[in-house]
Amino acid sequence: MSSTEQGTSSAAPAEPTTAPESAAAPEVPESFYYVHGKDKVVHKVSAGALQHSALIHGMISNLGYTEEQAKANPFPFENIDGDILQMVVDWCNQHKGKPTPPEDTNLPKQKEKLFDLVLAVNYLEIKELLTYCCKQVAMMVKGKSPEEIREIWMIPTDAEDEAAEKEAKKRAGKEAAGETAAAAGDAK
Amino acid sequence: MYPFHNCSLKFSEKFLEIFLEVVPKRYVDFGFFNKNSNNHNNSSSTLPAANLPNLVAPALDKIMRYLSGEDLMELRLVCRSLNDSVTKLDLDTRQITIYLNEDLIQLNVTKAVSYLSCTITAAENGCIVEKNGFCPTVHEGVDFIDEGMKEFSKVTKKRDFNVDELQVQFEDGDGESKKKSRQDEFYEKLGATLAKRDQKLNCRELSIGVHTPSDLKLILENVFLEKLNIKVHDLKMTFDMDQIKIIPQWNIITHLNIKGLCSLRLTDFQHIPNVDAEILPDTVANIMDHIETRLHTPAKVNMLFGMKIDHESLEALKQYLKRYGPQTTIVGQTTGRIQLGSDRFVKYTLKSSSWSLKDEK
Repeated sequence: MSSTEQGTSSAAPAEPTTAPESAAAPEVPESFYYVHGKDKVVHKVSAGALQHSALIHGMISNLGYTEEQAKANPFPFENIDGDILQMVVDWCNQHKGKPTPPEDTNLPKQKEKLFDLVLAVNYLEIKELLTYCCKQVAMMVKGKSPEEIREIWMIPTDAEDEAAEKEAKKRAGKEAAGETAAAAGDAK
Repeated sequence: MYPFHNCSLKFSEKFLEIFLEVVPKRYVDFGFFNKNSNNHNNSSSTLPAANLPNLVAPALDKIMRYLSGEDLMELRLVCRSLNDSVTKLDLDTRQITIYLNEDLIQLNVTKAVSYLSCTITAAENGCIVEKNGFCPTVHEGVDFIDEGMKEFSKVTKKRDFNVDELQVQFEDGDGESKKKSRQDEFYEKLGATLAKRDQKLNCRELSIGVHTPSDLKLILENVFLEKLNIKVHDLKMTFDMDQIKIIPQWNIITHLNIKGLCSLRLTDFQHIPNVDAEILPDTVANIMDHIETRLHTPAKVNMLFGMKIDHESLEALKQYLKRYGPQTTIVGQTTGRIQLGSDRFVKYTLKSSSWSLKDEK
């Protein structure tokens, strides 16, 4: 029998002091994983924070990606910009183990960043963050006229788009003709 | 204002030069706008990589679901691609309401953008059909209920037709025998119209007003649903659900709301996590069993049972629930909280007329 076991069984008053110690003991240290974006900057994220992403959570739990493997080979997300990935990681850390609030006011205000964030979040399958982002985009669209929407997001009208397409085709045709002429010249 | 919007359709070289100076590089990295790019054939590449029209479909769909019909109409006019996206969204029917009166049927179909209101009124030699308040047409020799069913099957004709909510209502009031027989005929014909479909109608939620169990059975047999809301017409009588609980659809319901006393027993609700129903009194042992089963299933519960409980049974229930933790009793209402695991709490409330269990968020 160990000394601690003897102590607790023989001396009753010792119980209250030993109880909190034994309760704190089984706490498992948090595991961390690593991710990097297009800029190759590696971000260290806890497993708890990564639970928000169904994609990464699936990789860890279903594919058996261990912490050691993750350390040696961070999850590569080459299609996500470094600053966007940083934003996602920050959000996941902020909402780790917490119920997500109905509104999130910390989303980027610049539309380009917001769209990139929507794409990244959709890819990483972070449901709550995608909902916030989509809500924010919807708020930006609400009450706007077609002209205003076009202006804000720099969307060409159909006529402009068609003209651009025609011009592109024309240019491509010219270039192709130039290339064939050059090739014919080389052959001679 | 961007020069892009002020320019005429002629895209001159000069314009391109100005445009390339003004617009950030990330927007012109490809396609027509970049003179040095080789990617000329892709017309969609005139748009930046991440922009509203070319967002991924699930995200765009989600965004559009936050917008009102008016906003979606504006969005349609922005460009062809957004117009197509709104059209796709508008294929989903959000709600169909069928309302029966003594001499008319009203069929309202609500979509994301469009709305159809079809009123079929009984006339001397047939019926009159009016759509969105315009062009009333007379259909001679056709009963208004038959015409109503014809319109309903037209609206739901697609094989894989989905609707978020189907509402079937009729005019309340003391039924004369003639009116009641017309109501029975209406439910019979609606059931037959639904049964004619190749595939059962998918409606997430069915809200239905009913006189008799057979009214409900005829409809329920021919739909797939998650939520069922029943409004019993005669609140003085106990609504017999024996015919209903044996229908296969009964087993896939996740939300049930019954307004009016019904003949169901607690064992009939074992598979439904969200219930609001008034049922006949049951024994304390059965209530305890039900609560115990609920607490040991992972599905979150939200249930309220209207049920008469005598004083003795109420005390026994209180004692039984006390072992889960402290409880408080104020003016005949006892409440308590049961902790299940590290992050799940279920709140219970006991009264002489009802009891409830609810997962706390």
